[in-house]
Amino acid sequence: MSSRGPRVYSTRAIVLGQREFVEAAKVITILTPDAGKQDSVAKGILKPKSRLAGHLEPGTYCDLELAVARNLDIIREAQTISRFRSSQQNLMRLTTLVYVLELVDKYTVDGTGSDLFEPLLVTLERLDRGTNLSAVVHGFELTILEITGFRPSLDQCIHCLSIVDSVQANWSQDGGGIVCGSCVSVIPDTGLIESRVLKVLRAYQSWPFEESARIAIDSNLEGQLSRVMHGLMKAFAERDIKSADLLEEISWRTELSNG
Amino acid sequence: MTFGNQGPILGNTNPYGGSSPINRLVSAFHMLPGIGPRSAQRLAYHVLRSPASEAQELASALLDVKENIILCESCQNLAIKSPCNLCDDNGRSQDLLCVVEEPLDVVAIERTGDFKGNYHVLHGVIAPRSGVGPEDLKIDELMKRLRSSGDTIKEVILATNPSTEGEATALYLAQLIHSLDLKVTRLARGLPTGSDVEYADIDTLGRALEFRHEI
Repeated sequence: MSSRGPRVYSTRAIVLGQREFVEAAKVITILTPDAGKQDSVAKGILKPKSRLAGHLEPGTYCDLELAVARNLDIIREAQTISRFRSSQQNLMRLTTLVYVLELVDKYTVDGTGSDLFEPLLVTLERLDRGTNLSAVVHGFELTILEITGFRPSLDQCIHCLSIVDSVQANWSQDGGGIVCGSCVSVIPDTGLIESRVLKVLRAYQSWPFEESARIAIDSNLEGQLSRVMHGLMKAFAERDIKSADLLEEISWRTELSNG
Repeated sequence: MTFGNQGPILGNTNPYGGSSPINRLVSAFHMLPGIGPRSAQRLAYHVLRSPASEAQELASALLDVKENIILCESCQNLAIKSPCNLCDDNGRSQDLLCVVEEPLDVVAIERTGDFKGNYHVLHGVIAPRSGVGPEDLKIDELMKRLRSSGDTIKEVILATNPSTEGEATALYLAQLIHSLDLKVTRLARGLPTGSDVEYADIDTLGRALEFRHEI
């Protein structure tokens, strides 16, 4: 925030994460609709009677008042708008919430990502309502890739741009899309992608959410969708996304416990 | 911030030079959690003004904990022997196990005097953003302990913090422990003593209303 602007300003924000700072303070990473991702300081948040603590947990949608400071702006007041309580009480949804927050964090740098604010908010609301989790999370992954300029090519070959039939498609994770039979020899590290996985991803990429959320997804298909999308998200982020591994482990455990 | 001989924490105005013992001590205090540069300076100057015997006692206590403190093989808490005094205490209820994030949480719960069961310390919470996954915590040890306890342990109290990471860890553990057919409970949540209802966050207030009790 520029020191020439107002000394105190208000903004809506979604808390992406927290980390320890000096004394009883923490650095809070927030995403705002105007300034994108930014770090700010919550002083005294570790004290038992802090008026900020409950309002700045990761995944909270809140109203903030911040004071401009030389380095990191200081959070003076915080008021929760929504904590997405249903998501907080379900392991699968909570882990998915942590995953989408980590995605936004990894795909943005300070001062960018303001155009991810509304998609993230909508995703957190859908997650809280418990709508088709597969459509919510993979739809959001595809939105992030689109907004950050990494839209995967799901209809055309990434090399020759020819339209590819879903039955004969090969998949290139590093290339970010499908490869036709003629080009498969020139693109390294391709693998087959199952026809129904590609069809569902195409629907998540281009259909309105209400329609794509009606697609029935069994656990086997969801496992394949997750593997493809997690691989893609890690490849473009160029670093590990730890919560993706946790999400896969929890999906597997949940499936086991459900028989 | 730099440590030791690598550079001055006191900035360009440091009158002692980067490698001075004072600067080294300030840097060492600054490495501690919750200690900012000014607090580190205050502590260093306090040590300087104190008698040499106090400084020796401090240095000896620091070395002592590093050399003599171990993890109790049962509860994973910090201890001077294994099993620790708490695990060795036959007067404690063996059917209750309280799972906490950190050793300091044991101290806090013991201070209440209201809990007479045993503990298990996880040494952290699942925090993917910081690169901490379930495999980095003492979860395998917990599950091994529960499986080998037979019918002794009847209830596991999940006392991780009511933060996003603490909740995720509690839900993760609950899923694992339910497969052993044990009762799993979570610490109640509500308003802290001396707080203002007006400033409470909606989650805390909502849960305080949900778990209200008759008086």
